[in-house]
This record gives sequence, C-alpha cells and structure tokens, in this order.
Amino acid sequence: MIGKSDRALKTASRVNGAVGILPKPPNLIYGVNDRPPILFTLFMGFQHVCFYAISLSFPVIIVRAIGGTDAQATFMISMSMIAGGIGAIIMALPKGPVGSGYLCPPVCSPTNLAAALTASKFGGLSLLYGMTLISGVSETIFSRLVNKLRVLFPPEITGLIVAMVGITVIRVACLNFLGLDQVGTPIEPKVLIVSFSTLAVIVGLNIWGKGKLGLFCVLVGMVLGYILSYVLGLMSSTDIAAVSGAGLVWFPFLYHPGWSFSLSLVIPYLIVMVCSAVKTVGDITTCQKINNAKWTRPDMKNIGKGILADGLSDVASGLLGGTGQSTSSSNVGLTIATKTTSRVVAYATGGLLIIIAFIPKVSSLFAIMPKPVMGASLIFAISFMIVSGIQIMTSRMLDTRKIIVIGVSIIFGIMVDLMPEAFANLPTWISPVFSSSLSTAAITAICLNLIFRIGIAKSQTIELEPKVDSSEKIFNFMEKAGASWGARKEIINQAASAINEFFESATGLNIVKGKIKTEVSFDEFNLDVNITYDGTLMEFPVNRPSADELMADERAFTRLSAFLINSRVDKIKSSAKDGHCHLQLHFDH
Amino acid sequence: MEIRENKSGNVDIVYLVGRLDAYAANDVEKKINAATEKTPACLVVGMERLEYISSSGLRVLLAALKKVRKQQGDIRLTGLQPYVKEVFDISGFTQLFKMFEKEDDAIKSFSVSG
Repeated sequence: MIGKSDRALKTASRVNGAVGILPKPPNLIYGVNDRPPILFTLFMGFQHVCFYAISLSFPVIIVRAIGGTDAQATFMISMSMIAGGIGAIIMALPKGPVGSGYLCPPVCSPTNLAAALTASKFGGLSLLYGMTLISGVSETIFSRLVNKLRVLFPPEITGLIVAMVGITVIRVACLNFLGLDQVGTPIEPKVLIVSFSTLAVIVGLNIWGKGKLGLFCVLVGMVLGYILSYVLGLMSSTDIAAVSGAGLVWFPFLYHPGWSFSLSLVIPYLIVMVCSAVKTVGDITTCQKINNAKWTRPDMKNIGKGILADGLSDVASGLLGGTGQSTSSSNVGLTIATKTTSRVVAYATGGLLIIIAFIPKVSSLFAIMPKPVMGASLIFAISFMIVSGIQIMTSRMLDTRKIIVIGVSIIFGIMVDLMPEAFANLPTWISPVFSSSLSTAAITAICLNLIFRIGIAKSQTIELEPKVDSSEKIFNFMEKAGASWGARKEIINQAASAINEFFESATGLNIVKGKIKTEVSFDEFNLDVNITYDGTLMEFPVNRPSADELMADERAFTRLSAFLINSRVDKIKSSAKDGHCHLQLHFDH
Repeated sequence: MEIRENKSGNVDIVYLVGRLDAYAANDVEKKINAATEKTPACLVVGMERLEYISSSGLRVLLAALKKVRKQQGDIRLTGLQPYVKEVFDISGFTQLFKMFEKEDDAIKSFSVSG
C-alpha cells in the first residue's frame, strides 16, 4: 500500500445501532440529544399528546361496532393512552436493547382496525386484547430478525415506505377535513370554515410565527379549531355532556375483561404485525434522516430496536386492554415541522399520556375532537412525511427497474385508497395486506425489489483504450452501473472521476501497454474499483504540488493528477508482478 | 463538451458546458487562446454548467492564466458547481483564480481593478 486516506465523517448510528453523537442538521432547533427548557418540553409534549388524541377515534369505532358501552370505550381509550405513553418512553431510550432513541411515539394504529373489528365481533374485547398481545409478542420476535432482512429495505424502498406512511393517511385526513363519514355526503360550509381556518393558523404560525409561537402552531391551531367548532355548533350536546359528565380522576384497571385467543386469527394478526413493523421502518428511517446531517442509509440495527419498542407497546396495550399501537407518522411529521426532535420531549409525551389516562375529563375532551380539526392537523403533519419519503427515494440513482418498483408500488397502494370497496370481501387472513395503501405498496415494493434483483451483477467490467476513449465512456458506464445498484450519485461520481484521472495520467505518462481493464463491484457499504493493465506502476504522492511548482513546470500536473486520485478514494492499493499492474481503489459507501 | 463565447465591452466570456477532460482540453485551449490574444486580456470563464474537470482541464486554465498575467490581464471564473469547486479546492487552484458567483460581478471586477 502506498497511499491511504480515510473520510472522517462516520456517524455513530452506523457503528452500533445506538443514537450517539450525530451531526445535527442546522434546521433543527432542539436535536435528539438536546434538552429544551422544562416548560417548553411540557408544552411540546402536550402538542404531541394532541396528535396522539387523533388516533383515539379507533378504540371508539371498535367499541361502537360491537355495541359496547361508553364505559368500555373510555376504558379502552385510557388503556391505549397508557400503552402509548409506555411506548413513547421506551422508544426514546438511547441505550440498551430496546428503543431507537428517537421521538417517535406509537399511537392507536389504523393498520390494526380491520383485524381488531373482526376479533372484537368474533370473541368480544377479551379476544381483541388477547390477539393484540400475540401481535405484540410476534413483533418483538420479528424485531430481532430485521437486521438480517436489510436486503429487503434498500433506501429507495424505505423512502417509498416513508412517503406511503403519509399517503396512506390522506383519505382519512381529507374525509375529516371535509367533515365527512363517507364520500358522497354533502359538505357543510361551516365545516370548511373550521378546517381551513385551523389549517391556515397552523401553517401561518409555522411559517411566519415569531419565537416559540411557530413551534406550537398545531396546539394553537387545534385550540382555535375547537373554539370555532363550538361557536359554529359542530360539537353536539352529547359531546359536551360527555366532557362535563366525565369524572376528574379514575382508576381504569378494574374494568379489564380478561384475555382470550383464537388460532384462526393468528395469520391476520401476523400480517398486521408485519405491516406495523414496516410502518415503523419508515418512521424511524425518517427520524434517523432528520437527526443526522450526514445521513446516507437506514441503520437497520437501530430500526430493529425501535421495532422492539413498538412491539412492546403493543404487548402493553394487549395486557392493559388497549388497541394495537404503531409508531405515528403524524407525530414524526410534527417533529419536522416544529424543528424539535429532542427525546426529552418523548419522555414528556409519554408521561403526559399516562397521567391523562387517569383524568377522564381531559381524555374525553380529546375523544370528541371535531373532524375538521383532526383533518387540518393531519394534512399539515403528513405533508412533511411525504416529502421526506420522496427525498430518501431520490437520494439514490434509479434505473428502470427501480423506477418500476417505486411507480407500480405507489399505484397499487393508491388503488386501495381509491377503491376500498374492491377489496372489501377478501378472506380475513389476507385483508390486512389490503387494509391500507401503505401495506399494499410496501409489500408490493419488497416483492418486486426481490424479483428485480435477479440479473443485476454485483460487479461490472469495462475496457478502456488509451488515446481512443474519453471520460464520456467512463461516466456513462459508472452511471449505468450505479443506477442498477441504487448507489449514491456522489460516490459514483467520485469513482468515475478517479478512474478518468488515472486513465488520463496513465495515457499521458505512457505507462500502459494495451488496454486498461476496470472492474467495479458494489455492496451497500463498499464500492471497489480494480484496475489491471500491463506496463509500469503509477505513484501516488501524499502531498499536493504547490502552486509555484504547477506554474513553473507542467510536469507537476502528473503529480497533481495522482494526488487528485488519492484524495478521492478512501483506500488505495497498488502492486505489480512481471509487468502486470493492479490498482485497487476503495470508496466507502 | 460544448464551448460558447460572448463579449461584454472589453471582456471576453467563454462558457464551458459538460465535462472538461483530456479529450476536450485541446478545444478549450484553442478557444481560450483565441480569446486572450489581445493585450491585456480580460477573460471570464463561465462554469455554471461545467459538470466535471480533470487535471488536464486544470492544466489548460493554468497555462492560460500564466499567459494573460504576463500581459497584465486576468482570467476570472464564475458559477463553479460544488463538485468542480471541490476539485479546485483540493488542487489548490482556489488561491490562483478569482472566483465569482455571478457573471455580472466578474465582468464589473475588471473595471474596478482597471
């Protein structure tokens, strides 16, 4: 070895799956490791609780579907909040085997809804709790396998999942925004007044809000939405009676109906678990990206720890008597919008959720959240998720195969949202796959990606003829190979530049007899270039020729060329035997 | 590699589009030599659309710079893209050339410096 240089910037997350010292993006006010002031933390935590509250409609839907009582609904809301609180806290743990270390709280999952309705209708709430427990336990087991399944989740697929995590909420968000239960019913003008006013306040404060006001835009917007809804008569007397009649404190554990299990529901719940885990992959990938200015790829070990936390929050929900929990893309979107990703806020969110679970007066206020307020808040939050997903997808070079994987998967996913009735009568065991555009798109993408891997060579070769070929041939070859591998464009450009620089210097120095054979091989972490030729070895100086040397002597450019190659690579090795030379250029990817 | 020319007062402008490698270096050298024939030469090289430059490209620019500075002229560069700027930084050329983001500023700088 005659030259070696290492890039200094490597993130801690890549090394051990723990969130260590990451280069904080300049757009964040409070990064994941920062500690905001206590009052700020509590208000921000409460803002996240407000987003959690949007998902509390799911336990209400389930209990109403089986003709359950208000007490059962209130019980399930409280238990879901406690499970969500536990989940938010353990998800944010920065060390140990559990938790991604990020502010990424779980909420009542819409992915679970179809299976939860089936379970509760088939065997009552005890069966729902039992199967949620099974789903949680299976997710904790699945979390241990995720790191080995990294081949399923290249960046373009995780980017797609992140985008779909947002896209899948569009239908629910828009129905709520327009105050509709289903498409086709008339839209009330006063609903539009509330929804547009709420959205305008949230967006306006977020963009133009001075000081801390902009960071609490959602909280302010929601409060205004509640007031407007009350003034315009969008909150029924039943809603108001539910809040005024709710007790100040209660101890909900006494209402638990126990657990039961059904073998026939194991497969649907396993599919729910996979869908939930895939969503967690997307959410935690986003957290990694927004907290690391030098983010390049998902850290699957860290994601595995996050899925374990997600599974444990499901276990807690099953044990306590809540609905299935899954990480909240809306809350992650909120962290981007408020530029605050501190894990201390996650602890505050978790703590507040657990405390409020024992205060029915407050939890019932969340339970009657007006639809246009929910819709406006969701639309605001998911915008960030969708754009974040697109950014992750386009961070890699995309060839025709990858474009088809992404395009077809998005179309299949959106098809489920556009025509839900077409998938309404599927067998129970497969219905979770088509329960949301996210699960359909993610599973389509993973399957297509595996199929399209067939025929992609891990290494590709090009022969270059001195004094005949140009940089165009080298760059075209590298761009085509890089796109088929889904490599990062900047690394492919560096490698192409280094190859071209060698080619030009070797040609200029007349050190090559015949053609230069270049073999390039790739895996997610390494890009290696092996150049073989007959002739004389090239030398790679560690020091750059000075400006005076370059001005005085044109031959100094040969040294500059070799220096440029050396500075482009992470490692360089060269050897020669019987006039046969071998040059190995390594690039960290 | 595409090379275009323009003129603003007594300042000649050469735009480089694409990749400046050894293959394209001869053509660029000819154009720049033609644009720096008068004395003193004032040349702006527009690099907004230059994607790549190799050491052969750097050699052409430096040779031209040596020539025009002997005649009290200068070459100023505009709009270097991040990747090309990185090559200039690594090779130490950032100290040799005056660089501007906008073409107008580069042209005006000749009148200021006389």
